[in-house]
Amino acid sequence: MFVFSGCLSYRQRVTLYERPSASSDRVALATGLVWRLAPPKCKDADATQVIQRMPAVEVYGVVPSVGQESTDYPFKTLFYESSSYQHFKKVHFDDLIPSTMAGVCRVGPNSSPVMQVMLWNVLFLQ
Amino acid sequence: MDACGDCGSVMSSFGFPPSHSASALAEVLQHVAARLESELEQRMVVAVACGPRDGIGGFLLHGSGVATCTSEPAMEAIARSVDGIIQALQLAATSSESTARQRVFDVTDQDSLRDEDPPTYPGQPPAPPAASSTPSRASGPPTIPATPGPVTRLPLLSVAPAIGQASGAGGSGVAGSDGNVTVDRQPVVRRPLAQGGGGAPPRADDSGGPPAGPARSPSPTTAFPPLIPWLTMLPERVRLPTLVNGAMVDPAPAKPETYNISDKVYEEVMTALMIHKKERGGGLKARVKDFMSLYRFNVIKRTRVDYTFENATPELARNATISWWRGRKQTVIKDPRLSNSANIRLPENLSVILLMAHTKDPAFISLLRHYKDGATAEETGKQRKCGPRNGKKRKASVALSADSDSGEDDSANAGGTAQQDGRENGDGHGAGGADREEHEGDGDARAQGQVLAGGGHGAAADRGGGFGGSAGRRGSGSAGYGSGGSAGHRGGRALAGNDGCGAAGQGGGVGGSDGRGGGGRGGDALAGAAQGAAGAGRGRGSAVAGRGIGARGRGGGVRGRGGAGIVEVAGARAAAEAAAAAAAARALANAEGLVAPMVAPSVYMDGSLVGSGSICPNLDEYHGAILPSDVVSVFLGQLAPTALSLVYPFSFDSQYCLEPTGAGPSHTTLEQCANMRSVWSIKSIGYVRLTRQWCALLCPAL
Repeated sequence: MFVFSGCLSYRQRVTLYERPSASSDRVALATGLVWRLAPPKCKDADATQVIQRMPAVEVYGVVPSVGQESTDYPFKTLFYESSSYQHFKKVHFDDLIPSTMAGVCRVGPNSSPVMQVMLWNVLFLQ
Repeated sequence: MDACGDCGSVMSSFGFPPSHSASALAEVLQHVAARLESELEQRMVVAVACGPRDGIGGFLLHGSGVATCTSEPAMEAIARSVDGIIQALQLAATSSESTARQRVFDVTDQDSLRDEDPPTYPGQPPAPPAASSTPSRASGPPTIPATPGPVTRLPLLSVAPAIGQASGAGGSGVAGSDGNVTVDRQPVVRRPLAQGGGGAPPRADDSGGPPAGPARSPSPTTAFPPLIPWLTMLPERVRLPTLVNGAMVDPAPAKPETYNISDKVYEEVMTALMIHKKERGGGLKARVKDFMSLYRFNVIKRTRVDYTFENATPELARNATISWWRGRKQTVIKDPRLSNSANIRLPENLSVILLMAHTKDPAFISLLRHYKDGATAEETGKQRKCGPRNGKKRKASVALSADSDSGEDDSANAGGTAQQDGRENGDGHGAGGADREEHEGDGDARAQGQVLAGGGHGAAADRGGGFGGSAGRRGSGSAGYGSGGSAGHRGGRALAGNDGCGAAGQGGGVGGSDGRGGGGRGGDALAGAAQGAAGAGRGRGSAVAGRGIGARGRGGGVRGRGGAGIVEVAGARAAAEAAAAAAAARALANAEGLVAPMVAPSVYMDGSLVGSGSICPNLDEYHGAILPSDVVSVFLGQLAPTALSLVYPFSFDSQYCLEPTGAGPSHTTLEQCANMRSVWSIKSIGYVRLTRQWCALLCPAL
């Protein structure tokens, strides 16, 4: 006898891509944990567009994928140098923002994650 | 130089701060364009489009023809610039009139003049046209400047892929195939000032040339914003005193010149200024004041210096003698200076406008065009503060009385008998009212102002018989229109939701048939706790500001002028801001809903889910101890039944046990950790997502 039932998907982490997750050419840069939505700081007239076009979340415990540790962190300029999200720069990083995934994650592949919060585009998560 | 708001870091990719990069790039490109203009003797428009690039790395310049440019934000940013560049082309077409005429002038009478005159580059002040020695009335046709016309400092704008289509027959193909920099050749076109105001496509010149540019695409927000975004050029003006050896030294006086304004220019300017006479009322003085307010507003916004009217006087007008004919009367103004509304003198201010139009100053011409299309300057902050909340009665400005231009107002609609406003309606009683009304009699040049400070509540605003029509129930109220001769008009009323963001009602109205309309009433806003939207009133005779009820509700800024009065509205802007804030809040809530399933709230032990709670990465201390980088604070909320008896991993840690300052390290179960702050390894954090997938389970037991 077959019994159909709903099930819960248990996943430890989300996958962080370098482009929209719907893209077929996506590359999984890392895995991480989503903390919360990062609200942009901009004028109300622009907030809607910013949230629609470039929504950001704060992720932590990011571990780069194998072979991607030397890849550029894609949101160094896209987020942290944008007027809407630059206020997170001092919150997340004490000094300069590392350029590579290994630098921004502070760990290598297959390592234990550490507490390092960073921004990631919501559309690039899965 | 224009960069979209959400990709300010585009400019950062040049290695400088965004503003510095934009300025430097604009200067370089303008210099290149100026050199090309001098070589080719053609009007040029240079445009650059920048946008963010999806994916890793910085940014690339975008433009049409870039096959890889599929970035949606970039396309959005570029699309927003279509309007700007089209207007820039129109402006170039406008300013090219003097160039065209100058070219004809060169080849006919002064062939040697062109060789002697150095090329003009951006940044170099345009040479003022020489004075005409004979009065224009006698000369007939407009005076032709003897020196090259002012060089327009064209704003550097982004380029849309469809700009070539948008520019249409204007011959304004823009973006090159590389999409980076485009140099556009602008045809020489005459465009009389009185024609085609605003969005109307410029007319081709008499020689059958192509039109200068396409019709301006409608703005996505307001048709004519107070600040003309693309108006980056300003007339050569403003020479402020400088500090020399500890003393402020005034600049050297400008060279005195005499300008004779032709009848044609005078008529064009008057047509442009008085085009809104019917709906706004008032006379020429009111129109000049409106225009000068718009001019100064743009000057201040562009220069970011709070110039006075006098300082904002174009340099060309200083020490100048300007004369024009009006009928059989000649008016001669020497050394005109702009003045504020309290001390406005019509001839002096008008002379400045005439002079700048006479010299084909692109900034003034474009401002005139925008003014014709309905642009007005918003109220200043100081004016907003003059509401009844401050307990000060705002007196109607005596200067607004039609003393000098009453002749212009003879057809105006005799003044506002606005007593019915507020009082007959029964509103305006009670505490906290934010009503403000200004009445000015215009026909008899008598002004009176009144402030009703004890006003009532917006809800009490009934609609007395004979008064304007119904108001909107929610959202943006619609304007009501009365039918009676003396009927006032009531704007819409917006009821704010619990979020406290009420939209504005647009008051409005046309006076009664007998010209004694009671005036429009601004929209009433019933604000919640946060923000009360402003009412916007527009009407004749008098105006009553929108009212806000609530902790921070406020009435809109309404300024009514008597007779054919104008109600300048700041409330519409406040309403737009409130609407934008509400939209932003909704977008943020939607985004949070989108993110919520991704948030990691679960705690695992040895790969098994033991519970969920609130993860707090921002708490980097735990009972005074700095947390290492591999753990995180967690408030456990729910625990799996099978995990109640599991042992808390840090039970015996001296710093991270459940109560390090209390019981200390001890055997602690997860049940004891419920609803308490605990420390968990980041490795043990995950999330649970309910999926719609259905799995088929075979139950062998059944």
